Amino acid sequence: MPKIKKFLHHLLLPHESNNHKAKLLHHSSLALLILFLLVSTFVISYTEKNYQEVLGIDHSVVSEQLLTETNLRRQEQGLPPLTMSSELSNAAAGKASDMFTNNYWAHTSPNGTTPWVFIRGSGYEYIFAGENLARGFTTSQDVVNAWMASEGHRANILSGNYKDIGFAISVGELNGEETVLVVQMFGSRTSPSMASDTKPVDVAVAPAKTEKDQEQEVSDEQEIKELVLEKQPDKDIVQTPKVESVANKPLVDSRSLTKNIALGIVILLFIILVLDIYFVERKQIIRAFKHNLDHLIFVFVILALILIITRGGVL
Amino acid sequence: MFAKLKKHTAYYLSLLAMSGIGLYLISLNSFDSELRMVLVIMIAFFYILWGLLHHHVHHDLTAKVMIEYVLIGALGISIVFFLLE
Repeated sequence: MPKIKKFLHHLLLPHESNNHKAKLLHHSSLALLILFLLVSTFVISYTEKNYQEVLGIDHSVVSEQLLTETNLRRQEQGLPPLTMSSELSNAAAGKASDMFTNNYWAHTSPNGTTPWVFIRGSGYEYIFAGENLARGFTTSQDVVNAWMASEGHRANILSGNYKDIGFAISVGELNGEETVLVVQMFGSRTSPSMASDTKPVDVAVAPAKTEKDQEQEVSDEQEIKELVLEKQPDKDIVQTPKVESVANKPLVDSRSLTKNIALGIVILLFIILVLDIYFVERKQIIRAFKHNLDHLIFVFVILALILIITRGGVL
Repeated sequence: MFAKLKKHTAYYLSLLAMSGIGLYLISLNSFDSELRMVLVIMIAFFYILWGLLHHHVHHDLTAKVMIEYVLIGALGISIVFFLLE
């Protein structure tokens, strides 16, 4: 036991044995830590690509749970439940697939394809339609909670205009990041009388951007849209590939693994630097490198970065 | 401790301000991994250069100090690279 205590002292605190600087702050230890991170990056990346059943993105986001959570929120507001629509789910799957293929995180694709094109492409004729997007969440409840915390997305979920809903949950690489993408599409069908009108119009409503959305880092451009679109020619209607909405279960969740390792290293460094400042001041230790406060600020910035990078987002 | 803090107030405040700006820019582009990596490298470079300049001004810049800043900066970049890749 005293040996362990002595070793921890040597590793973490300024002491005679480590020349009054925690061993983990020595240049050799920092270099080793960098080497460990670089080797781990390549090992994890290789395992993720070649052994997906061992290491991959683990999530439990499923359509049924998303529907239950959404209808629960509507029920709390006295609104009727939405019905799952296979056409809207196909439209959502088409949108998810398009986002991965064209690598964008937005309601409208870089080539100008709006969500409504996918909805029409699925054969769903609507008078009202809306779309909510989410990425980086691992449970259905977290996804719906994030939407409910954002005014525009909440308005979609609690809109009395919609009757039907569809979901797509897909894992893939978006903007260089492996992520779980959730597409939620709302709609209400045109009535037969409207469909036979001489000049049919579609009205699509996308979630409104608010100040609260910006605070919550809703990350892309979104505007209050009340689009009155003329019927589009058939060439605009895209076919919607099928995306399975099943939970993915690798042995180890790669995102949790990397996040926990990174957090572990940064928090350990932060504690060591705080202890170093405290002991150097208390014991009036004289050494070449006297103050570590700038290191502490930098490590704190890295800690904040980890939290920013690993959070989910809605759009 | 407080006397030291007072002596280096401008240095710490400028470091905090630049880091804050960097974090804000990253949070605005939190889903563009290439841009995030570039911003992280820029923050690390600023931290290293600012630290070295600060020690140079106070006439205590040595090779050891230089290596320490480079290593801490490289460690920060490695952690984010590890997380993003």
